[in-house]
Amino acid sequence: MKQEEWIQRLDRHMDGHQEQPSHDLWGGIEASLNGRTGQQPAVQPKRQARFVSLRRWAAAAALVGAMIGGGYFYWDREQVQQPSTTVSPTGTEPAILSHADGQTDTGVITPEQSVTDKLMAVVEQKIRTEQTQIRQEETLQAMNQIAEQTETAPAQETSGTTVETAPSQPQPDQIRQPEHVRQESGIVRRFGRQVRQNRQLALGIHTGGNTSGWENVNSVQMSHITRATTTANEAQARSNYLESYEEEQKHSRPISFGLTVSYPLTDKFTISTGIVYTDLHSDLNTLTRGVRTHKGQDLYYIGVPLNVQYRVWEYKGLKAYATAGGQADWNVKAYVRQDRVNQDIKKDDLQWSVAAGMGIQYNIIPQVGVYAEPGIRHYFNNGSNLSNYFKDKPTDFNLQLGLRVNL
Amino acid sequence: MAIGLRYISNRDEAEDVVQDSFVKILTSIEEFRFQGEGSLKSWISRIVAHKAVDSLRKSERVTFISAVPDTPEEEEQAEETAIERVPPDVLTRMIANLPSGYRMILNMHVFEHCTHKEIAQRLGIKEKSSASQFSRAKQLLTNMMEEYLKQNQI
Repeated sequence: MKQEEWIQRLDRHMDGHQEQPSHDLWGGIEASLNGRTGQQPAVQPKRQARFVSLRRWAAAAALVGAMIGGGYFYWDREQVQQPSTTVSPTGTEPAILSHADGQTDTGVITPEQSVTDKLMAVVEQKIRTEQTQIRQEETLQAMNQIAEQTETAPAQETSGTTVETAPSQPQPDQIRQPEHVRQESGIVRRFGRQVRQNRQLALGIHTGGNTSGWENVNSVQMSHITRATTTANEAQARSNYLESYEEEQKHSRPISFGLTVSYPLTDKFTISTGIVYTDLHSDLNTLTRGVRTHKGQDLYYIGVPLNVQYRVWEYKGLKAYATAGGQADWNVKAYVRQDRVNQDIKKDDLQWSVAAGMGIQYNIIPQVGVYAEPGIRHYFNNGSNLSNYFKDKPTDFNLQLGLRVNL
Repeated sequence: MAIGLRYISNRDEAEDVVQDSFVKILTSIEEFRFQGEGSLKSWISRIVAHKAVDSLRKSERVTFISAVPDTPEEEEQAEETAIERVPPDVLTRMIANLPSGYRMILNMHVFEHCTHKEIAQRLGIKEKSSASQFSRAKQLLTNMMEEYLKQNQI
């Protein structure tokens, strides 16, 4: 109480005390006021200053630029090719087809021909070679049978260029017998047995779908000649061609990039739509008689999603939500890349899908935000023959990134 | 001006504080709500005091000495001092000559009627520290007053 009394006495004693300022203090006050009022019009309603953080705009611009740049590099990536078949497309020297086992076939290929034509010519040459081998085998078998029956089998001289047969047998056409046939006769016989055993399997594989020319469907690379087969020999040649056929498909998991708009339905629920870009990449490797072929398949989809979001949590510009909805994807571009040559293929049919998951969004500015939506997506079978990730894994984890405009 | 000089010993600096305070008062006059006689004076005084405290914290190194308990003999001595015999302008100089921490706390507690809790929150110190600092400030001011009275034989 005594301290309180001291305080009150001091306060009362000093109350009303005034000190004289310097003569130019009011001038300074006036100058300050004039300086402020001079910047504003005479009659202007007071407005609260809006401070727009340039840092946020700079961060938004940097993020958009990074996404565009990153997306460009991601989509424009070069495919690493490992061709096991080498074809010299230029020059006048004949093209050489190298096999894994060291055999070589030469075909007459001119530089003016396209890569497709060159490949067709090479395969045709191979088929002719196979046909020749088959005919030779049959001839030898027939001759052996005759020799066993008559015990006076005529001498057969096989050279590197001609094959002589028994007079009772119809003369086969004069054909060139490559040297490796005699050396690999065991392989030929084994080849013959394998052909009989694997015929059904071979046919089963290549009935995945065939289109004209060199279009690739289900990664089975077929010449149009093999389609137009009516004779047994040609069917045999096709089976031989598909002997030891191995096929490997690797579908990369897609990542989608979206540009969407959202419209609030209620305080918690929001509906969003927009466009989504999806790139499907697949590596298709085939192994045919020791020859490995690698192709890259790229499918580009533009999709329109329709999702409903339920906001779970929000703090300042960051929010987490649950999302569910559907999407329709149109295949806008499809091609196969082999030996650095792109070949358009038939586009995929309309792809429907449904998805559910969680999302997280950060609003760089109140109107624009970036989001990431991991979840589960199921792709309905659209009935097309195109082999892609959607068919390989119809229900799988999905990640979508993008920009969202908040209406 | 008197309020400014109680906080800031340098006159020029005190005038700057008063000038800035009046600019703010005149440009923010629409924010004032009349609450009876003396409310305008209180509002103006509060603005000047706040400006002075902010200026003091920016310009001077304000130190708050750790709590020192007062002795009963010192308290009795303070009560007997004739505060009213010291002229107000002299008291203003005496208060301005106190250490910065003591000065701020004494002005805020005596003239702005802030509690030690409010002072502690505003200055970022402990409430006990504010109370002990005030006691020390009061003691020093009392000594100054007694010295003045002795010298002038009042």
